[in-house]
Amino acid sequence: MFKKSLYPLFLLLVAYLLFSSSDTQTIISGIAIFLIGMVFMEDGFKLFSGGILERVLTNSTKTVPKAIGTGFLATAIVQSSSLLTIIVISFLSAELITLSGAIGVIFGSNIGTTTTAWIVSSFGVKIKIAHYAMPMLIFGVILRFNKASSYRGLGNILVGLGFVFLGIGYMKEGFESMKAGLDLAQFAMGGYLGVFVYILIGAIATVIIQSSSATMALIITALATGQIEYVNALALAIGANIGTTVTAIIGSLSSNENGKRLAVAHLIFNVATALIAIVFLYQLAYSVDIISSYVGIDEKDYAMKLALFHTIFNVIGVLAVAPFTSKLVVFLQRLFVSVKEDVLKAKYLDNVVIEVPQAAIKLIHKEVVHLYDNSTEVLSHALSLHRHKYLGMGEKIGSIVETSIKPIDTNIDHFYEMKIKSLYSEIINYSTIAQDHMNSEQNIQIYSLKVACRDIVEAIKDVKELQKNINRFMNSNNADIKIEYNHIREEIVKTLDGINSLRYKRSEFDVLANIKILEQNLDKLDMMGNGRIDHLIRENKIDPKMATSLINDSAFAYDMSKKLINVATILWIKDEDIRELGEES
Amino acid sequence: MKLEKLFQKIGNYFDDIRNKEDQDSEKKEKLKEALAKKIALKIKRIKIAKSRDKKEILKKELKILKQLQENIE
Repeated sequence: MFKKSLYPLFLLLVAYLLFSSSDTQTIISGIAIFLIGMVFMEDGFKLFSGGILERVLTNSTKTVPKAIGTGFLATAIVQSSSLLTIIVISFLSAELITLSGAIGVIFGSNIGTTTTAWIVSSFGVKIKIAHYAMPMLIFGVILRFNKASSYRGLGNILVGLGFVFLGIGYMKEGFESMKAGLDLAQFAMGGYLGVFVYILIGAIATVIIQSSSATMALIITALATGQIEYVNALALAIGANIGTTVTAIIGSLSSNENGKRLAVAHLIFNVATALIAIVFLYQLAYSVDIISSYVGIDEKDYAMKLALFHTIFNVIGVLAVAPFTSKLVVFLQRLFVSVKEDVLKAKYLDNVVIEVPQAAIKLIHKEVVHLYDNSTEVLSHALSLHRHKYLGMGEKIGSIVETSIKPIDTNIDHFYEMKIKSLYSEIINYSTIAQDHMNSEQNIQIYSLKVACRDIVEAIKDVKELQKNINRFMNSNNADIKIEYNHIREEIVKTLDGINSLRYKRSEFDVLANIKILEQNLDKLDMMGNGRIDHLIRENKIDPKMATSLINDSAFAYDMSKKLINVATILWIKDEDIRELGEES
Repeated sequence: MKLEKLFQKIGNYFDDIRNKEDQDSEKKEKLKEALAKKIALKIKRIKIAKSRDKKEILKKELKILKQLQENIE
C-alpha cells in the first residue's frame, strides 16, 4: 500500500529532476546505465560460470572463516552481493549449506562489495573510463550472438562492464558540469549532526537506487569532482551500508524463515558495523590517513581514501561480529522458528547441474522413481496391505490378500499433500527449467518422465475412489462380493509386485517381456468385458447396487494398473527402440 | 541459378530420407540381433531352471519375446 502510493510520487520526482536541469539528467542517466550494467554482469556471471559458483559455495562454507573468504572472493569477482545472497538463501533452504556458513558468506560478501569502490576510485574517476566502455559494449554484443552459453555469458559481462563504465562516466560528467552552476559542497555539515544527516541521505539513496554499489559510485564521483566534503562522504558510505540491508529486509518479507534469518543477520551485522564506524569515525578517518601515506595514496586523493575507509570499516565489522556467529545462529533460529512439516522433499534434484542436460535427466529419473516408491506406500495402504508383506511373494500374494482384511487407517488426501504433491511440483519445476538447456531428443525424455509423474498422481486419485468400497466389501457378509473385491486387490498388488521386480532385471528385453505379461493380466480386471459381473448378477449372487459398484471399481482398478504399467515402461525401459517395439505389438 | 538451388534442396531432402531409412534399417537389424541372442539365452535358462514355477515364468517371457521377434520381421 505504502509502496504503491509512493511509487507514482517517486516517478514524478525523477521526471522533475530529469527535466529541471541537464546536469541532474546526466547524473540520473549515469545511475540508470550503471544499474543496467550490474544486471547484465549478474546475468553474465550466471551463464559464464555454469554452476561453478554454486559448487564453490557448497564446498567452501564448512567453517565461518572459510565462508567469509568465499563470500569475499565470490562478490569481488561477480561484483554483485545480491546475486550471492539469492544463491545463499536458496542453498540454505535446500540444506546444502549451514546457517553459520551462509552468515559467513554474507560477512565476506560485505567486504567483497567494497571492491566496487576501489574500481571506481582507482579507474573510474581518474581516467576517461567511458572511452573503454564502447569497445566493451561492441565486443559484448557480438559475443552475445554466440550459441555457446559461456560466450554469451562473457558477452553479457562485457556489456555489463561497458554500461557500468559508461554510467560512471555520465555521473562524473554530470557532477563536473553541475559544479559550474551549483556547488553542493556549500551544503556540507560538520560535527556529528552532519554525520547523522549524511548517513540518513546515504541510506535513503541506497533504498531508492536498490544498490549500494551504485550509491558508492555516485558518492565517489561526487567526491572526486569536489561536490561533497570527505567527512560527509564517509557518512554517506556508512548510510549506504545501512540502506542496503533495508532492501534485503523488504526482499525477505515474502521468503521463508531462512531468507528472514539471513536478512536479519545482514541487518545486525551492518548496523553493528555502522555503530562502530559512527563512534570511531574520526579515529577511523585518521587511521585511513596513516594507512594511505604508507600505501602511497595521495593525501588529496579522497576517492581512494573513501574506498579504503569503506573496506576498513567493513573488515572491522567482520572482526567484531564474526566471533559471535554461533550465538547469532542460535538467536536467529529462535527468532524465526521453522514450521516442521513432514513434507517430503526432493532427494536428488540438484540445482548445480540443472544446466547440464545428461546429469539433469539422470537426477530427474531418480526423483521420479522416488515419487513412484512413495506412491506405492499409499496405494498399498489404501488396499489394506503393507508393502513388506507382499513384495517378492509371487504366487503367495493371493493368500496374503485374503488374510489381510483389517483396514489400514490412511488419509489419502493428507498423504498426497505431504508426500506426493510437493515432490511432484519440485520435479515439474526442476525439469521445466532444465528443459531450457536441452535438445529435442532430451526434451522428449523429460516429457516422458513428466507423463510418468502425471500417471502416478492419477493412479493415487483412482485408488482414492476404490478405497471406500474396498473397506466396505472386504469384510462383507456376502461372500461373493468379498471374493470380487479381494480379486481386485490381488490383481493390483500383483501388478505392483511385478513392477517392483522390473528394477532388478538385467536386460531391457526382460523388462519389456514382463511388462507385456502384466498387460495381459490386466484382462482379469476388465470384469465387465470378461463376463464375470454378468454371471454374478444372473446367478443372483450380488444385488444391482453391488454390481454397479463393482463395475465402477473394477474400471478404476484397471485404469490405475494400466497407468502404473505405463510408468514402469517409462522408468525402466530407457532404450527408445525397445520401448517402441513394445508399443507396436 | 535459383532453379539449380531448388533442385539441390529437393535432392538433399531425398538424401535425408534415404539416410534416415538406412539408419532405421541398421537400428532394426541390431535390435533383431539382440533379441535373437536374448531368445537363445532364455531357451538355455529354461533348460537349466530347476523349479517348475521358474520354468513357467521363463516360458511366458520366451513366448512374449518370440511375439516381439515376429513383430519386427
